[in-house]
Amino acid sequence: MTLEYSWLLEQIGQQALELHHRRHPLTLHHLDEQAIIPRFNFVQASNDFLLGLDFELSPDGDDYLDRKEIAELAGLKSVPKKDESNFDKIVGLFDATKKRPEVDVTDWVRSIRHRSP
Amino acid sequence: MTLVYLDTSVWLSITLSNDRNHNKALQVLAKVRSGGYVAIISRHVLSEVLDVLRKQALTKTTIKNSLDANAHRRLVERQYRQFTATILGMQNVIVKDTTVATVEVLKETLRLQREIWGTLGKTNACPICNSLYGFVSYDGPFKDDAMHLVLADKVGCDSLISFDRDFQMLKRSTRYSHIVIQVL
Repeated sequence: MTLEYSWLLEQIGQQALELHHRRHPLTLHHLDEQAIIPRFNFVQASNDFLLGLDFELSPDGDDYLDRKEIAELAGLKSVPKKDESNFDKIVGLFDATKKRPEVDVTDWVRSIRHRSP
Repeated sequence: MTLVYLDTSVWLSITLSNDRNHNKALQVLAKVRSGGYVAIISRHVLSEVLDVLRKQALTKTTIKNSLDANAHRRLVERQYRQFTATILGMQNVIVKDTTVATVEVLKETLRLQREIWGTLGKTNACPICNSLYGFVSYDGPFKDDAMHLVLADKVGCDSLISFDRDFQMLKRSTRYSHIVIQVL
């Protein structure tokens, strides 16, 4: 029984790992375990695989390495933590701090049109 | 849970309170916040956001009047950093790009462009000065938007949300009828 269970676990793990590698082909040439371990949560992946879930989309972020890469490229010192307050922060993020004065351009447009043949 | 690909226009409308689609964009954001949507953000979207920020920065008086050659770059990088810091820290927002070969994405994009044709608009007036002029315009899907749809498909999205009208035309594609395209 233990042997069968162990075989089954190995199969599940293998399937989950393959699926993971298909999504992250860059890891294919990192065959040493040290390179793989930070990318791969065996227990999480196996559980998700058994439940038929796409474990790349697990809430805690199997997109961590993607976020890390994008954060580094943007010059952030660390990967931003998931926080509810970001939903408020993004609203109006690029609003101009000083509101531009409203200018009536009707006359200007009319003068331009008037000059045309 | 619906996996949605949010087009660049949606993200930008969220960040600009005076955008005409701001309120609609907030409704989409609320759905992401509540978990009704899981939003996918791709590097293609991030590239477009960076492009828009670069162009927008050129209109700012501080940049026009600045003698510092690096002022433009500093401003854009600060804005982009703020954007990524916020977006990467949002629940139910996932960075996801396809790992299929580039050639497959390009092939599909080209096929889609060949499949969907836009319309010709003809007027006898110049669109700027209104004087007599035979003006012809083409209104069809942009290649970047076709690529968004291909990428949304490749990462397994159920839906794509945008404010760009050309996505309306992309709805005609039989190849991507399994993706619900919402042009709000």
